[in-house]
Amino acid sequence: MKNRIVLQFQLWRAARRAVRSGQTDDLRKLVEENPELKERLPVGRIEPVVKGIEESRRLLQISQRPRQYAVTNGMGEIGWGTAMLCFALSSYASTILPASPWRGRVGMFFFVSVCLAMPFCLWASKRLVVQPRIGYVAFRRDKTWWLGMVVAAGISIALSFWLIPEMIHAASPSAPHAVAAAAAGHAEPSRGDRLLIAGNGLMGAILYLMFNAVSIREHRWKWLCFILILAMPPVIGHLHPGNFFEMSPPATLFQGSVYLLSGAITLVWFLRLHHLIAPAAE
Amino acid sequence: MNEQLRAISELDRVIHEPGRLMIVALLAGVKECDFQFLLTETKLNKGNLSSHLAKLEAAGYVEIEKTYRGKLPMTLLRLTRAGHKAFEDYRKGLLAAF
Repeated sequence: MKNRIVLQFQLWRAARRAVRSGQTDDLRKLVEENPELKERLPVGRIEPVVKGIEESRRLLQISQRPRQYAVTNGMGEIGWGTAMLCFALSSYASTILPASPWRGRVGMFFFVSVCLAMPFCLWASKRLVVQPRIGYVAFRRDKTWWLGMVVAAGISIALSFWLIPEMIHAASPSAPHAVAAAAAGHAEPSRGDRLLIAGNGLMGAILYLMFNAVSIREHRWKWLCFILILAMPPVIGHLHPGNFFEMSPPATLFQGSVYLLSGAITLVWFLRLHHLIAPAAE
Repeated sequence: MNEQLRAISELDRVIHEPGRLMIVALLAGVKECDFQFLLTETKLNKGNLSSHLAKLEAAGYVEIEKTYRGKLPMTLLRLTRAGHKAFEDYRKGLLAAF
């Protein structure tokens, strides 16, 4: 009796999961593995249910398909990579270039590039890459999109509040590690600095996964980029010791280069797959 | 009548045709798109696509707007509120029917 109740519950749960996510494997497996269920729900009856769920799910996937074009052409990665490179170069510009009026202008150029890289690349992706090849398409910003934006903004603000004290501490010349470093003649990263640089890698890697959520199944080589973005900042921090602000530019430069390279390869792949369409009367 | 059979008979026939189902499913995911986009996605020919769109427009499911992009003509297509509801009902109907 108990087994029957458990089985009934498992059947209900598998059916519910199938309707929600479209994954009908569990439902099929459960029916095949349990002769009792097979007798009560012969395959002839369970198959149409599974087919109906799968068909309904497939329709939903078709309706989500146009969105893929906006994220699979690599322009988002190129934009983010360019922004990261410019951010790192602006740090280098202020330390490497000799003091002159040009130093400020070069720094300003990189700063403006950081701000404009992403919006420009998103515009270019839509107008210059997708539209001439696939056609014009505009997306609805539904509840899910706004919810995603609010969650992302919430995480960013929370992280900023969490990291600001660490950053102020790392930047402070009176911090114990900085005093010790000054005495020793070189900067030794504190635990907080190491934590921040590892967090930098983690955030970069999560963002990379978000950019490539759709295309990473097709481009397996992107996992290598993911690992590099995740693991290299702490390694760079180890090779280039200092406080967070000294370790950050080379790490950002490296991450930006990986983003840019990955985006460029994806863009070339996209352009080779989708050819320009000649405009014609409709 | 058996409940499953009734659910099958209640499926919206305007949407049920594969070509139109493809069009409605694609339009359901976007705010608006042009004729060329649907042509690329559905791989239908221009005549077929136009005829399906005309039927969907007649049913009140699709809104068609003729405009220009620069000097080139452009046909913008949107799913109406009734179209969105019909698509959702069709999806639910599929679950009930099979």
